[in-house]
Amino acid sequence: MSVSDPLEFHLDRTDLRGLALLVFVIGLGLVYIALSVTYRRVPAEGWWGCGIVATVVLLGAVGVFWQRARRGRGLAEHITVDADGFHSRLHGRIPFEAITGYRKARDIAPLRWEHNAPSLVLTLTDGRQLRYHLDRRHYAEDILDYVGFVDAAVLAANGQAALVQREPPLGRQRLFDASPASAAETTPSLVGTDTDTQTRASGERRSSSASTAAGANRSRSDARASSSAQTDDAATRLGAANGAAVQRSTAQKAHQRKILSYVVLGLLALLVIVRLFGSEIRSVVNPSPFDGMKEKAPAAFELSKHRLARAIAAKGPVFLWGRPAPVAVQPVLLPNVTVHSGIGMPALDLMSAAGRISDFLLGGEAEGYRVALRYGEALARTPRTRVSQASVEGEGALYFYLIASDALESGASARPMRTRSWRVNYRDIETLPERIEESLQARPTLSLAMAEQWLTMTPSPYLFVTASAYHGMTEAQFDAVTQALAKYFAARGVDTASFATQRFDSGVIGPEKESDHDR
Amino acid sequence: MTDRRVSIASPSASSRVISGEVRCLGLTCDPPVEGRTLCRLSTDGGVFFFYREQFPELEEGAHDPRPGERLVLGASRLRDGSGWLHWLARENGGLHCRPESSWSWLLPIGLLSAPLMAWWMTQLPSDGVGWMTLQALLGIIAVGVLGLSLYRLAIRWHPTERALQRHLADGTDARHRSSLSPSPLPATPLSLEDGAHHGIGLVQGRAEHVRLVIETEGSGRYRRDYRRYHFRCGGGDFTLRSFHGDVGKVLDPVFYRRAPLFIGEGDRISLLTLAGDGEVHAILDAEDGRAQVNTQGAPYTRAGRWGTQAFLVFLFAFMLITFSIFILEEWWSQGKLPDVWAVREALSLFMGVNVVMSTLIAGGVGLIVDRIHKFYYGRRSHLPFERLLGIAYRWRIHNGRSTHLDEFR
Repeated sequence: MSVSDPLEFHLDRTDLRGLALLVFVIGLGLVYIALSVTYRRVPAEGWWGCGIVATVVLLGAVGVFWQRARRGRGLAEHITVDADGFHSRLHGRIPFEAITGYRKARDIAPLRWEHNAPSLVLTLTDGRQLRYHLDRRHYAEDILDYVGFVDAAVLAANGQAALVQREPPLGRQRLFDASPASAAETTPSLVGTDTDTQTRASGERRSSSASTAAGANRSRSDARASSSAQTDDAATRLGAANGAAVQRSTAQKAHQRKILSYVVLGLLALLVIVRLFGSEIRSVVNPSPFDGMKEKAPAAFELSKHRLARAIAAKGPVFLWGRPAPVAVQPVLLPNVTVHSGIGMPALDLMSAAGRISDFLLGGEAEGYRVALRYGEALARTPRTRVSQASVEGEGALYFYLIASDALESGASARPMRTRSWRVNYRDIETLPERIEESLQARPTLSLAMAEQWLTMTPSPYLFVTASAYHGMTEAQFDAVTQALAKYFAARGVDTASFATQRFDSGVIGPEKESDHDR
Repeated sequence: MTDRRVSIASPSASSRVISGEVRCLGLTCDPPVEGRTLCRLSTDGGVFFFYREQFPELEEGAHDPRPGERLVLGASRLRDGSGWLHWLARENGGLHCRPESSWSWLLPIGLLSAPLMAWWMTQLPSDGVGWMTLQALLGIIAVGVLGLSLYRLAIRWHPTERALQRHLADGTDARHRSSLSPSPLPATPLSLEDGAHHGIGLVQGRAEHVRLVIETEGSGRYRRDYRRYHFRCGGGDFTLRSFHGDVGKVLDPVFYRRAPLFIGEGDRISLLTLAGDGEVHAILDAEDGRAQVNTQGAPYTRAGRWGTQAFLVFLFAFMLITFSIFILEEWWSQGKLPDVWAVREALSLFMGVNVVMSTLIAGGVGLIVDRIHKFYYGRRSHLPFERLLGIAYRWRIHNGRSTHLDEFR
């Protein structure tokens, strides 16, 4: 063929309208940011003026773009395709060799998206880019010619211009042109028209259409005579293809139903699995903090305990002053924190205790240590204070323990009397008696008179005075303290003759009863 | 643009109703299916569809309009320019009308009784199961009666129905009888040869041996009925299928806007198939000038757009209503009128929440639907649907009609 039928369609510079929208959105954001940054930093009149000017400039820019886009609508394009190129009314003559590349996309209107058409950008050797967007207002009239042109251009850009030459694009003119010359031009052929349809079906169709083309070529010599036979032939063939399509779609539906049933079965199986092994799956995917607590808590507690023991061992010796007791008595260092807050679940409590000890150590021992007294199996301690008990420079700390005598005799009483304990801080050893009185006055449950009265009774309770190097006590200082205390108690009729001073290398609790003591 | 030009040229007194005097060209009927027979009356003023069972006088077929007979008819306009027949006045003086609905007595009674029942419901004592059951029953009956009455009222007050009744009063009177302007029938076929053209298979000829079967797929809740046409055209046997039972089972014909799928026996049709899948995707019927296309599986179809837009609108409306209820309840519980700051806070919260959640939900659902579409129609997405639609559009335009295509699914 020499020249194809003209293809007529209307174009639209849609990209400009998209650009207008982009400019508007980005410009709006920029104006907003700029105005909010400069608000109250420039004089009010200037700010208002700048804002108005910026808004007007933005709207103007958008309007210019929009206007140009509007003017770009309805470009009437008129294209004739011939053997080695096409002639465009807008761009002139474009040979196929000049097309170096193409970009195909799709324009979809958001509100009427059934009116969507491919968009095409052709890149030419001289650097020009030809843009084709169909004008949606002329969708129904132009889509046939437009798609014919786009397909032909894509084929030509792919180097398959021979296909275009063999089968000219289908335009509106050929649909209703009854002239015999044009009718002779139309050769029913399908080769290469659906290049992007890589389905099995098209493969079948293509093989059958090859024979069609051969048949058409053969019958062109006496087209008039055999036209009706050929028509019948084409109809029969298409009818057979239709029957095959129905069978194929039935088979495909069965296939899809099979896949769907597999999917449903799989989902059911998944449901059953989740229902049966839900807790295991959850423990893997999202482990609960309580899982394995029973196993982990003792280990964690052991670890914290060892850390605490090492920290206490580094604190140096502790001192004890008191009369000899029938059981072993030893001052120990305890963190000034509430380690045990029982909620009734042993594993949780243990873990919580471990956590509190760790927190105490990691917090730089800010709460400080207090000196507790271990006698036999029991532990006496001063109450926890909110104020830190860490050692203060120049200040000594004594911990007094007043324990009923039957508490120290093992098995003597099922319920021993309560242990009294208090802490005395002092700066000067001379003021120690006043400090003791002050500290006892601060505790309404234990008046000094009662304590002194009790100490003179028989059997007298055991009084222990403890101190530690951690609170800055040295052996010499402790001797001075014990002498002062002996004098103090002697003045109040308490016999301290049998009292002795003991020194322990560290205030670490013995390994056997630690967990009990920590409670 | 095209729509306007064609509608001016089309034979119509108003945009909703086609009425006037025509000359009958022929009557074609489908085989009866489930007690309904879809018929097409071809006249020189256009084609008109009706169910034979609409008109008791026509059920036997002995009184069918003969070709050449003068008829006065009233029909509601369908989107593609054809009409749905509502009444028909014959040459011999007979008048075929749809019989008055057997539910028409319900309208006044229902409109009166529904408020009465509601009032009675509020007056009943509400202690005891029996009274409460009675109240619930009354409420359900009142709502049902009111709904049916409003439906009848909507039909009676529908502009199409009123115009039809007006035209019926005028048109059967010989003095006001006006002739419809002739329609450009029949349409010209395509001048292409049979065979394959750019991936589209074309067969032109007469549709013969038209058979109609109801196919059923699935069962129970998933049961779907399809109507499958088998016919012979130009020497080949073809078949096509569409959903059955959407039109005319529930709705009154006044509300019909879509023309039904119809292939008349002996029609000259141009049949377009896609070479990619071999199925019949368009039928250009030269007898009535209608282009019936099937774009099922195409990437962006009208039905898909409707579904997407309906889903988005539903999402937005649902979130708006839910959010408003929560906000209003909060304001109500505070016991004082909200000030401008409360309104601003609620607005900004609503915009943020709505944007985020809408995006999430629409994205998730869109992904799922896209996968499903790919699963079912993935092989069809590359077919040249646009060329097919282009041929149908050009055929409609060439024959002086609007660019509306009848989609069947």
